[in-house]
Amino acid sequence: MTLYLLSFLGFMVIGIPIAFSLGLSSLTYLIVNDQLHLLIGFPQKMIAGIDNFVLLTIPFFILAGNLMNSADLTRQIVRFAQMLVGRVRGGLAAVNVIASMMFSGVSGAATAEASAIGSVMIPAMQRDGYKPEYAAALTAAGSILGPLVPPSLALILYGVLTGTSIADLFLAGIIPAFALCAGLLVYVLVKARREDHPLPAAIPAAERWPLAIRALPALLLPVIIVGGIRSGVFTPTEAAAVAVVYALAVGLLIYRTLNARKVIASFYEAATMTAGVMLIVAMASMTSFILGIENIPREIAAQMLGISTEPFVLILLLNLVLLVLGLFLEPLAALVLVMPILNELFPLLGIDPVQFGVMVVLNLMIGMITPPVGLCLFIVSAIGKTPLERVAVAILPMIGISLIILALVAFVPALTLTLPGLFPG
Amino acid sequence: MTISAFHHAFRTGLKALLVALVALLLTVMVAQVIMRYGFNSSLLWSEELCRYLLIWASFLAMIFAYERGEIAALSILANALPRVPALMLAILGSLLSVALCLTLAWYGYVFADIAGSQPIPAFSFILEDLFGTDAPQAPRVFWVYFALPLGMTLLSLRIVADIVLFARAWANGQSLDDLAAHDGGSSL
Repeated sequence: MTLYLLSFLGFMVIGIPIAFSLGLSSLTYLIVNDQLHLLIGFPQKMIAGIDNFVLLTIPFFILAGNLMNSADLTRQIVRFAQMLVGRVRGGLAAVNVIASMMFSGVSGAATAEASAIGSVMIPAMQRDGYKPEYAAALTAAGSILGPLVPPSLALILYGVLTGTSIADLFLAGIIPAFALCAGLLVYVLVKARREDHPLPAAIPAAERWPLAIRALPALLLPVIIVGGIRSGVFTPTEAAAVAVVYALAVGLLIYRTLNARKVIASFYEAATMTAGVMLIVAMASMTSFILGIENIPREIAAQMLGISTEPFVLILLLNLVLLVLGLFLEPLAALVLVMPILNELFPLLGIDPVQFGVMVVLNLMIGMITPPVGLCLFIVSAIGKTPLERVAVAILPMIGISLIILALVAFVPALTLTLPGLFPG
Repeated sequence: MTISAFHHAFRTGLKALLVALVALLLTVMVAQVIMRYGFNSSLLWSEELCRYLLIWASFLAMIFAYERGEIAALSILANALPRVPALMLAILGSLLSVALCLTLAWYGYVFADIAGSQPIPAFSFILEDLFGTDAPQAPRVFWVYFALPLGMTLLSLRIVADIVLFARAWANGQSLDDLAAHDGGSSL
């Protein structure tokens, strides 16, 4: 186990892609422990890890997000957010947060959200005189809203791994996302007062309604997805395919900003982004198998139970373990790896699987905005052309806010379970 | 045909194939919804076929996912190092990645060969729908699993090309950053 962990960190530090680092550590483990006969199981675990009907939602949701983004929807959302925010000090920062919230109903991954919102908002905020590291950090913090609001690749993977209802998970993530959004807004506006951030220009009254109407198709997408699944009209996979058809219709017929070239490029990009996700899930499946051989999940569970059997303490401990894991692992890989451990502990926690899923996903997403392995941080610091270290410092208060929301999700069931209860399946 | 012309044709063909695979996935899934609501009959084979399409699309697209940086890596150490050590590290990392891909390609092939002797159920259904009882034998499951060794072989070739680039940059006095700037211009 120690060998596995050390070799993984070693491979990763020298710049080997995270997915390959996982695979190479598996290989190292098999070689060192003289278990070469298990090598034949490696490709088998990889294929088994991605051979799942519900995982088909991943290419479709990625594709729907790509299409919406190339239909220039991000800009529409940003304009609409500007209209909503109006003339307040630090308005553009608030626009960034609200646009991230709206975009999260289109995108299922934090990385996609960071690059879409970042490419519009970071340059805009810099032009208005905001510090580049602040613009970048805010975008990164906003990007973790993406996996909390439907569609969400991480919640889908959690649902696949645990057999939890995808519709319940989708509904459960919504209130925590609004809470995080509100927390970020308060922070942004208070900071704007203190540091005298610029006032944005007002949007003329005549433009307001058209802006709201043009942003509407984007805001409807999550409603169609969740509504479609929840009412039993579609399975999650079908809903994802319908989301693509919807995005095509919106881009080709309503906005008329899509053309054949953009559509083909979106299909191609969806295939490559899916491949990236699938590779990491496939590699992590083998790692999870090896952890199983080593009986690691049971040992970790036993150690935690040795500290306390009190659910409150266990949930706290588990969150700490996940936060540390999230520092070093990509969330989807981490999900595949920790699931066996969670399965051991879960019955003792007295927590609803849906609430638990949102907690685990939010927790691992916080790892996306913390160094050393914070993919969203890398993206925004590249877009903002500002050093990673500065962004990492600027984002600290926002991580604090995320941690508060995480604690609320972990200990206040109403936050996650109210919506699934209001719309029973 | 020169090597670079072949290379270009191969890449264009593979990209077109990926677009077609995703489009087919979408079509089958939409057809499934329409069949169920419009004609009240489900397609027996759609779910299975889509899973296989996903496996194929994923493994074939890995080569481009690698190129486009969708397979995330840390560049902190490489950025901190001077030119030559950074290039050496990049070469070492790529060699290890190639070793992993080739191992997986080989064992993936062995696995496909051992585990893939059954005919693919989805294709059996489709062929029976088309030809009735004297339907021809459906292809073996081997052809589903074959995506993994094929994808891994392609990926290892792609990484070898990178190693050549790194070595050439080392010899020419260029740095990793020069290569990255160059990549940005010619990646599509």
